[in-house]
Amino acid sequence: MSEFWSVIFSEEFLSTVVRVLVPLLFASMSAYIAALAGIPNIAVEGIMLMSALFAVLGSYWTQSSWLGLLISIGAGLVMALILILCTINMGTNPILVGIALNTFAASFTVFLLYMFTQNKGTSASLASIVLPIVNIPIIDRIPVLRAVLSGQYTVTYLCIVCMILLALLVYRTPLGMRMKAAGLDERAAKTAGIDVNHVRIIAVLISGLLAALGGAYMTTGYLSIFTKNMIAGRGWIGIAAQAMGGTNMLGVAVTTFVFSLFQAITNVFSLYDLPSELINIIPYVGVLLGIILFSVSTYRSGKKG
Amino acid sequence: MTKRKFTLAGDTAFETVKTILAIFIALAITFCVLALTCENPVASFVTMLTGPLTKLRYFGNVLESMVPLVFSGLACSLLFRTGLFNLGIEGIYYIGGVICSYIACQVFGNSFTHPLVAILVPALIGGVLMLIPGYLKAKFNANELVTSLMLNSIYLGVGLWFIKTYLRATDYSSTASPLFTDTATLPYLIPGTRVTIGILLAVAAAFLIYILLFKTRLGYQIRMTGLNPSFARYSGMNAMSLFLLVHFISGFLGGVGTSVELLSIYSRFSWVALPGLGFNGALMAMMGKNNPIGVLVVAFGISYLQIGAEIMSRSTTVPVEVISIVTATLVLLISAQYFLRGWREKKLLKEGLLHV
Amino acid sequence: MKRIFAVILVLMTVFGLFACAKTAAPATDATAADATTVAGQTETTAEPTAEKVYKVAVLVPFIGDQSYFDSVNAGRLAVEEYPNVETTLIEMGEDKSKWESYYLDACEGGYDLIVGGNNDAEEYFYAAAQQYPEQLFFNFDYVNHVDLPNVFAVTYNTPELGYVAGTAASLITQSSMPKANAEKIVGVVVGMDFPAMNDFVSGFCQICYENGVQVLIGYPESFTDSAKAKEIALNMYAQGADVVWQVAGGAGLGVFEAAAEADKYAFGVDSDQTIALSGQPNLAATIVTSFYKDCGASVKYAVDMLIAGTYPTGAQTLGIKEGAVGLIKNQQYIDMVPQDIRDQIDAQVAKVAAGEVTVISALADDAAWQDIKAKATAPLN
Repeated sequence: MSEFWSVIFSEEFLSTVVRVLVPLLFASMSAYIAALAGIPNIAVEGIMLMSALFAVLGSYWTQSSWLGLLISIGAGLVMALILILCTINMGTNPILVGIALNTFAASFTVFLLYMFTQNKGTSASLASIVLPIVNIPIIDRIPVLRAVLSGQYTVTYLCIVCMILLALLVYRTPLGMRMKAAGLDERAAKTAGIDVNHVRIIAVLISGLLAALGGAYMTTGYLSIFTKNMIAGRGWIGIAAQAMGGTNMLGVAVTTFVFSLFQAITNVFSLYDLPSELINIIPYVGVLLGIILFSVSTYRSGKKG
Repeated sequence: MTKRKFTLAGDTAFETVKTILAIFIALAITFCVLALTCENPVASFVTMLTGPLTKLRYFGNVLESMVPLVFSGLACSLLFRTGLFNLGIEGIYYIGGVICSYIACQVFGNSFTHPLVAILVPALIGGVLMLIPGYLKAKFNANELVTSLMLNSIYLGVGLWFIKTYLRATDYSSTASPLFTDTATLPYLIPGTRVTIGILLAVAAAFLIYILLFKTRLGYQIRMTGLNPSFARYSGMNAMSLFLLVHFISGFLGGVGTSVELLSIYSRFSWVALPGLGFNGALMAMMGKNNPIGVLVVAFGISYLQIGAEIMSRSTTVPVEVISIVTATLVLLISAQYFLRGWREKKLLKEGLLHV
Repeated sequence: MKRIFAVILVLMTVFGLFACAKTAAPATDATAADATTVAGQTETTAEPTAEKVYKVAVLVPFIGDQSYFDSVNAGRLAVEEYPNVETTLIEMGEDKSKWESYYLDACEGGYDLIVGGNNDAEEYFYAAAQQYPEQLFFNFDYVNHVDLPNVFAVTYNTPELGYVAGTAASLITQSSMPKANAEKIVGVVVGMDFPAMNDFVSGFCQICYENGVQVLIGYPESFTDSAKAKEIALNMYAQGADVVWQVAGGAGLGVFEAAAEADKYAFGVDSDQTIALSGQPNLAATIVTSFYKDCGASVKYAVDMLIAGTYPTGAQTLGIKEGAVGLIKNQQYIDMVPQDIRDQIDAQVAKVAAGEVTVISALADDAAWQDIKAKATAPLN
């Protein structure tokens, strides 16, 4: 057991947590911005899967990792567009569209993979290119900080930039306020003169962009090959984190961090002789307990208040 | 275009035209996909549409794959009617399946009592389990989408662990239960197919729920709550017990659905992941407008197309994955049509929704 | 409304055009093999009408796992080359409740031989075999064989394969090869925790324990989550392992990613994975060798006998001796591994082939497996 603690309190573990955190953070922020504006995006998992594949295909076609990244973002935006069209223009329930898009993405990625590689399992035969690992000169000599900020994949740094921009958008710009208003009460927002649809479209597009970056991370650095179903539920964990945090961005971020901590721990745990199925449900139990505690305390404070 | 106009009353003829149009468009898109991916799109397309009718065994496949969808769709439709977005049927399907398998693997009773117990016990437990997200929502207003999704994954983990530890077949290489004993399996209905009395149970359930919803006072209460929560409260109905009762019935149906599926089609429990039947139930419910008969019709339609697509993929170069692309497109189009109508009933003309 | 449909149609057309444009080049190889999907419609070569054309159907859940089912498919492609053989690959998908229909359809499809099996499909396989006693069947990897006159089945001695892999691993970790470290620790990443998979590890653990090497075992509980497998492998390397064997299908590719990042060694499985990773040379470079289970060879074996008219019945176990399992000796293996280690591995292989070693099997003896697992994973002092 002491082995366990010495592994947890190491720089490598911190690095692991950061590595695991990035896709989850992109997923939860993607779910966050869409839910904030009033259109829950359940398709995060599907968008991540599509963009992961297109990052590989894109860099293979153009032989440039950056163009590949752009193409994968494009794929994510197209998925978001379908969500918008079906929800806003056709009035379909966004949850239904989300479920349909997820199912679609799971099969369509295999279909595309097969069309371009004659292989339904992985893209290993394609010479796709990854984005570089970035080492920052001075930071990489500071003990703990270097595990977090240096020697990480390119998209990790994009993640940091996106989080800052998103926080600014939501909390400091009029557009962010309009999004929140649209999400809180559509009719009131319209009465106040806000073009709810316009604002929601932007929110969902941003949501698609973030999810796309999360998917691209998986194949442009974390791994260099696309394998079918490789997102493996990370999108769903992001959605769960958003459900915990609600409209509070910090809450969502903290929850996501806790989940990545759990995931990183389960990677260490899996080497010990504990039933893996039970270990794997730890994050979900965590959210459930969190939601229960949160709701109970809200209820209690409501009663007292 | 007439489809843009709102009519205040439910115009069935109008609606039918819209549905047929949606199906037609989805099929057209399917045809385009086929034209791009295989050498003989016309033949494949025809196979897809008529395949299930060519052999009794195939049509039997349609009926048998309808069954879990009907139960799951009924369960979800009840939940959705109360305005709750609970996707917990998926988890109930899994854990209910584990419980059913445990009973089915024992030597017990005869061909009547064994299946009866194997179906009722998971149904009752499923009903109780469904109370959890229901209670949390009713009392503490906990987001039911989240609690149900979390519970799905938790039930999967616990169920899988249970199978591995207590119910594992030692002579089988992947994780699975031992074979179900003979008395547990449901009797076949149509010779030459795998259709069991499950289909009768499914249709019966649909009619029972229809009667419940539209011919009883309880059903009236359920329907009203969904349309206007405060109406329910002011009419003096006990909202809490209504919520819980609906959840119980829903979980009960889920338990029945999974047991019937396992005892009809499978000879042992071998799911190592969530089977997806619960989520498909949500799609059935939404497309069927939360109406039990609608669910029945939609389940049949989707199963028919699904089996048709499978038959087609078996005889052409079209990869198996095209099926889901087709289904997803269909789902989106058909439900879009429906949801235009659904929202019409709830709100007045929404500006900006249907602009050209 | 029309606008949306127009957009969707355009999207589909764009995807389709892309597909057509891109598949024009690479598709030609595959479509030649895949072209014969409807029995009797296309012939690969012209032949005299007197000679019989054997139609073989191969039923697997899917291909593309880079190892197991791909190996079966490789066997199919090998016999496809024969002038008098036509094969059809039938991918049944992962929904087991549909598999019975696939088998029954195949029985009605007029094939001379139906190749299928593997534990998950066995009940449908043997049920179909009973229903159609005139149809010949071949089970390419059985667990529970049912003795029927129209069925021939083989299985592989996976524990023997694990034993050989363990030999190689323990030799490498104790050697002075460039990336080997001082600790005597090796790792195995196993897709899922059930007996047929643990069969790969039981022999591995047995020989490592004998050689005083600690084994770290990790289960990503998935055959597709490569990121999870990568994290587990990184962990193993961080704890001192210098070689990790991946037995996790598609997820196992994550192990190679970890090996590349940690600059250590990895073993492949089921087939020569350096070929599968042709597009990613830095990953392929980490693979010392792959330990294969040649399902494809046994498919060819069965078809050869079918053509010769000597199609057998019953069950057969193929192991090291028959060459159905073993390690890949490609140029990379020869370059990476010093002569004396290679000789020692060969010696071990010969010993196993001669039947001098009793290897523990997780499938056959769970108690012995649990025992050796506990012993081999215990930390060394």
